[in-house]
Amino acid sequence: MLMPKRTKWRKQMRGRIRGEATRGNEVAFGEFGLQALEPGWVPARVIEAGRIAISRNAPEAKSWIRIFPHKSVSKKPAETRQGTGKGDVEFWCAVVKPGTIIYEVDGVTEDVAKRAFNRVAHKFPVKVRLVRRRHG
Amino acid sequence: MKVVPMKAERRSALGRNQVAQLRKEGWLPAVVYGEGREPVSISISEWELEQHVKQHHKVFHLDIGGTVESAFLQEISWQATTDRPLHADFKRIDLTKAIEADLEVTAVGYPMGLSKGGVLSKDHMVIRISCLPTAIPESLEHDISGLDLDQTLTAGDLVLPEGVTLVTPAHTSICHVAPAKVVVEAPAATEDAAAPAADAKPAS
Repeated sequence: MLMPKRTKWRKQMRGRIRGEATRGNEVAFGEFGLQALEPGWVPARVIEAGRIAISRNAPEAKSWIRIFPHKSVSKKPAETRQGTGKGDVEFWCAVVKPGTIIYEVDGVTEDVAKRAFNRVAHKFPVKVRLVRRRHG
Repeated sequence: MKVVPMKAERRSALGRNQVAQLRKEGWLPAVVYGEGREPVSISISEWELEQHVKQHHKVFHLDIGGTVESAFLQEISWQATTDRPLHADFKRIDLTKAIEADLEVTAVGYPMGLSKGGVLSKDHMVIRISCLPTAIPESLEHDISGLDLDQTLTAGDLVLPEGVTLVTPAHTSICHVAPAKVVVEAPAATEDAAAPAADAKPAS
């Protein structure tokens, strides 16, 4: 699973996701992309599950992951009294804004890309859509 | 490339709210600049621009309140999630002088290297060319069916129409067929094996 090699601080504040993506919002490498339509957190295991779904449903495709789980999410254990500080890091996630391109694929037809991304879409915690590269 | 006429109006709406109102009415804010003259804020029909984009038109005779100027469609800003244009940039041009423009290369055919286990890697599918505005090709197709394993199509290999010169360095790789890397997926981890991974922390 993807996670940072090293970070300055282990635990982070939650933050707010405001506005739309102004960077990473265009299909840059492949012919088709999967674009987030809602803001949200995408855990590293979901990114990995999506990558596997693409490689199984479009094995001939060249694929790119355009997001990275930089954000650590902490959680207190179940049935724990309040206090004693912030919980341990539970998982890592990527913060996505509407418009962010999550995956890209190339070397496949639109039907194959659509089928692969449809499998991915069912795993994702945010609404997504298929977008084509903008030519010219 | 055909030079097409387009109606435009001088725009006094400049602020964010005024421009948003303009967009609601079906107009698109745009700007014309270049040739050493002052930039002019204009508004054009959003629908009309989309029709021209679909037909790959880039060179226009802009009719701004009676004065006609030749302009090259330099850039369009798009709204990421709705695919609506937000703003357009037009650069004034002289139709008798050569300009530089980007041209997308369309690869046609199935490279023979793919049937030998290769993967087509597209490196730079957009090249920079220099030519008269009226001579800009709408598209450039190149047959890559002869591309074998470890072979590269460079910008110098492309056959350009007459009057068009290449600005991109000739050795720039357009695409190449690389041998596929076989990634062997690890067997599915059991729950016990997956548990420590969830607790994994990077070295702080």
